[in-house]
Amino acid sequence: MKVIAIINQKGGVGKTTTSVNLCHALAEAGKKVTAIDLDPQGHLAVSFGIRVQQQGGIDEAMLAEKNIRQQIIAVRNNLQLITSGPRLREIEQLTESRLPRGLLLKNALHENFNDQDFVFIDCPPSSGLLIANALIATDEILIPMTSDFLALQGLSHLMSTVKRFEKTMQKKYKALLVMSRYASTRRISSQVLNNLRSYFPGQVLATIIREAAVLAECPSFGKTILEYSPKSRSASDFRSLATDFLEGRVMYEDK
Amino acid sequence: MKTNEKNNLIGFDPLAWMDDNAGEIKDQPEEEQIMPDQEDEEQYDEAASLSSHLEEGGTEDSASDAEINLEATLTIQKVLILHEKLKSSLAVNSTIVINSAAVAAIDTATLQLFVALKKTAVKLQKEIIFALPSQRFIESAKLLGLLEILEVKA
Ligand SMILES: Nc1ncnc2c1ncn2[C@@H]1O[C@H](COP(=O)(O)OP(=O)(O)OP(=O)(O)O)[C@@H](O)[C@H]1O
Ligand SMILES: [Mg+2]
Repeated sequence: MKVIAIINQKGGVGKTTTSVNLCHALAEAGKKVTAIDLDPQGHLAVSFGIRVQQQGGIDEAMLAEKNIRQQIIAVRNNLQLITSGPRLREIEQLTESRLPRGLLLKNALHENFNDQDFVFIDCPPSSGLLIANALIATDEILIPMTSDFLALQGLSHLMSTVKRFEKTMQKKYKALLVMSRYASTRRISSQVLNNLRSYFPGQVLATIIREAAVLAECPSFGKTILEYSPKSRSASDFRSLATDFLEGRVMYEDK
Repeated sequence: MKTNEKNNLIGFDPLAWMDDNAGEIKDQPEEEQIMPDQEDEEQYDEAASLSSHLEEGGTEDSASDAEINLEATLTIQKVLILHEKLKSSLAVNSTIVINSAAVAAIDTATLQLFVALKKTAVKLQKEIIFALPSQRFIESAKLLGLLEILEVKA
């Protein structure tokens, strides 16, 4: 079992879109997958067609009020979801001194997902306590990226946070990147991609997810792209991304 | 070096600093506080009680005091041994002073152990005190949000 945090403190880069569709594509490929919504906005659950605003999820598990296994919702074949729950927002602000604040997620996950192949954590666009919990609970991160300049700036910020955790916690993350919203019509896009390949050789997943209207449409129907438009290029992009992920297909620096 | 001539659409390379510390993990320019700052509302006056404990040393209650020195590197590989050591010490002493001055590297597993011990001690109405915590010990405890639980003064 591997736990992977889908992380980028920059908003709207495609964390949730990547979580939903990569998880579904992996599940379709026969892997057992759990997706955890660590964002108080609750977009991951909505994207899977689940609307349970008042019901507890990962919030209660982190507060050790419920066992995390009680919070599981089966959403597709091989794919289960843990929603954010209404109190996740409180946790982000937590100053309770009797709780090990940074260890809440790690302790909640504990050994509870040994029957799963992958546990993905859809992170919120912030760099507070929830992100600290995600980084402490996992050794692997997947960073969705858009193909513009400010995304590079944001990545620099993220990498300095990651390195700070590595230094303080004496560990090394396995970090992968995915071009999750690639605007092929913009000239700067290919340069941003080249930059990523040269700074992160062997870490950028081989498949580029292009900007496509269908991807923005499916959440409102509670469908993944594999259901909403299974024959679209976006659907095959995500199937191919799942293969990249499973087989370690990555890009290298342009020689 | 990563900015090649073709890169004319990117004027400034925000990732350039990553070249400087290939391999070695050093302090970053954008060192940012990811955990919310600890509020100092709860003042235990731990420092005072701590130093008095340290000074008392051999006087009253000395039969039930113990001092344990932590090594420089505390990792999961050593956590079992440390656990045994602390557990047996806690069984026969009412106060354990853990000298944390030498700690240069500490991982999550070890800090989790300390949290568990601290909770056990409270249940047994005993006391565990982290004395002279090193900067790295404080930083790691802070990152995990454990300063208050471990009663470590930053
Ligand atoms: N490749 C894409 N093509 C078109 N639209 C996309 C693509 N990826 C994401 N979107 C749309 O962009 C918006 C933001 O994406 P998403 O919610 O996945 O980002 P996020 O990083 O999870 O955002 P947040 O930081 O708010 O959690 C959504 O409306 C989504 O449908
Ligand atoms: Mg999101």
